[in-house]
Amino acid sequence: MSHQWEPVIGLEVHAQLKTGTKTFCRCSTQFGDEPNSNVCPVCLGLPGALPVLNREAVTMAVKTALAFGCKVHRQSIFARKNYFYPDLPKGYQISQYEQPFSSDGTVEARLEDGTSRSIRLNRIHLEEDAGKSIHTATESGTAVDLNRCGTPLIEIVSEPDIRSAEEAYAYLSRLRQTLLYLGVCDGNMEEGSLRCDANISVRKAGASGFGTRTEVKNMNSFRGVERAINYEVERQISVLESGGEVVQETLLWDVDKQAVRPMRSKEEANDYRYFPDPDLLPLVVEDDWVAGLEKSLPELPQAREKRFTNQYGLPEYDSGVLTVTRELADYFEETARLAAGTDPKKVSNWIMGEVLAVLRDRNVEIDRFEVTPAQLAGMFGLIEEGTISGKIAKTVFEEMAASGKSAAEIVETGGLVQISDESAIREVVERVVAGNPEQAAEYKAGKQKVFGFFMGQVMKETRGKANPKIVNELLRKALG
Amino acid sequence: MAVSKEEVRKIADLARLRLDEAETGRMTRDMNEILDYVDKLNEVDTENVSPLSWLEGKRTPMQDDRVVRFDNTGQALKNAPRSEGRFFIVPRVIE
Repeated sequence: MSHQWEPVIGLEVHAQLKTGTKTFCRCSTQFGDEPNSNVCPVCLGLPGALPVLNREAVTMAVKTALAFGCKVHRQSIFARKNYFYPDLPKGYQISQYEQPFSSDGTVEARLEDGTSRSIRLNRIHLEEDAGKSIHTATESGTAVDLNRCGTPLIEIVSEPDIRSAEEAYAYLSRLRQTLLYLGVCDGNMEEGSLRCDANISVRKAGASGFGTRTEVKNMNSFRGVERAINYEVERQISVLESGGEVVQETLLWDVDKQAVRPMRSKEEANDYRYFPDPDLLPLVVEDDWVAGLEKSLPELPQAREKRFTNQYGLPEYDSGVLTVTRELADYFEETARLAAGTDPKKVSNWIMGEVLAVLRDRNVEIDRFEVTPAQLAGMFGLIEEGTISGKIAKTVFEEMAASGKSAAEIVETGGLVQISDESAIREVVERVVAGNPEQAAEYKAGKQKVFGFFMGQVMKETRGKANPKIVNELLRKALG
Repeated sequence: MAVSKEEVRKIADLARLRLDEAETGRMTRDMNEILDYVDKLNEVDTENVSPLSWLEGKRTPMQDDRVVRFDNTGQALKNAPRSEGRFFIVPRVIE
């Protein structure tokens, strides 16, 4: 990218709230049910049906606002956003426009180089989702499933503070992480429970005004957002550099072509003619309710990260990795607590290395992992006692992950107990030294590197079970 | 006139209403009469009076997050001009 241009990006994120029922009726929000089975006169938009707000949706929305340091307004208003689309049977979406329930706030995005960027939030408001149109189901028409129609969403609108695709990615990661910590959204972009639109413009570096922006929609993964932004920024720069002008329009990201295309006129958003919904009185959130919710907030990712560094003496990098999800952070803390005799850094190394590798391999989440914190701590106990070596521990761990058995059981039945008996080890050491006179002579002549060869031979002979500390000692003596 | 024919055409378009020339004229006249009538309110001095959009002290009621099934969804599908299996079918939206 040419350095004389600076991208200016604002993101609008829609997050589906994990309530059991819809925003304004008591239909289930269950994903994947039989089409049009979770519908009623309210969400079907039948005449005379009246909306009644879901308290839990407000609770989750307010918690989210508090987590990002937003102001929560005592009174807010629901507005109708009018447009026609088959998956919106009322002909309007109930949203918030002039008076959202919250405004301001910040998201601390952490970039890959470890530095942080504060991205300001403009607002968070509460609204309802539309149904789903399936254009491929029948030959002649579009099939409509209204199960999702009316599911609560929060829309999180950032200020145009984002300056690169990488920052956008970091912003989204922090946002999603926090929503998951709060337990208000499952954060699944592929299934659409988290959706992101980007407003993108570029300007000459150092300029204070904004260029003409485009809105890019339809990015259904974090990497998709990153790629779409990079693509659109490059496109705008090349338009401007060839003397053209950026046209304000809505674009769709095409995953297959890895390019943006203009939205067809039929899909294009219209003049929404917002007005206050006469079916709904103002939403009032009393101070004591907000105060109660503030108290109920879990420890949030940044705070937990800091605490991990302070309390366990972990490097910032480790704290960042271990607190990626609440479940992983819980797993670490529980293991560290049960393996009190083990250095927390060692526990961290194991979880970041072996445990995460197995999870990646199996594509399974930590809370479904067979090796419980208690079992992992049991393995650390065996290492600390000297029953097994660190090397054997890897074998034991693999076995634990495969069978779900305890470390002690595996060590016992597999004969993996570490050999710490000096006489047994000495015998092997002497045999190895005697069997390799050339290397022994090299070592005596000062070639230190050969020592590793002897270590390896002894470990091989004992199938890795010899206590490495004792092997080291005895070898030095024997070669001395 | 506060509302032009052009604006009436735009609003009709947004509301998916097809008006012919005569209807557009009639609608323009009606809308202007309504606005003129409501405009009388502007004669009242509302300096230092805060807007009353809802009755004072009223707030929207809320319900608990408990599923209540609506068991007549079959009828809802039957009422639609077209349905197939469990789906509502509408004219094709995108090609």
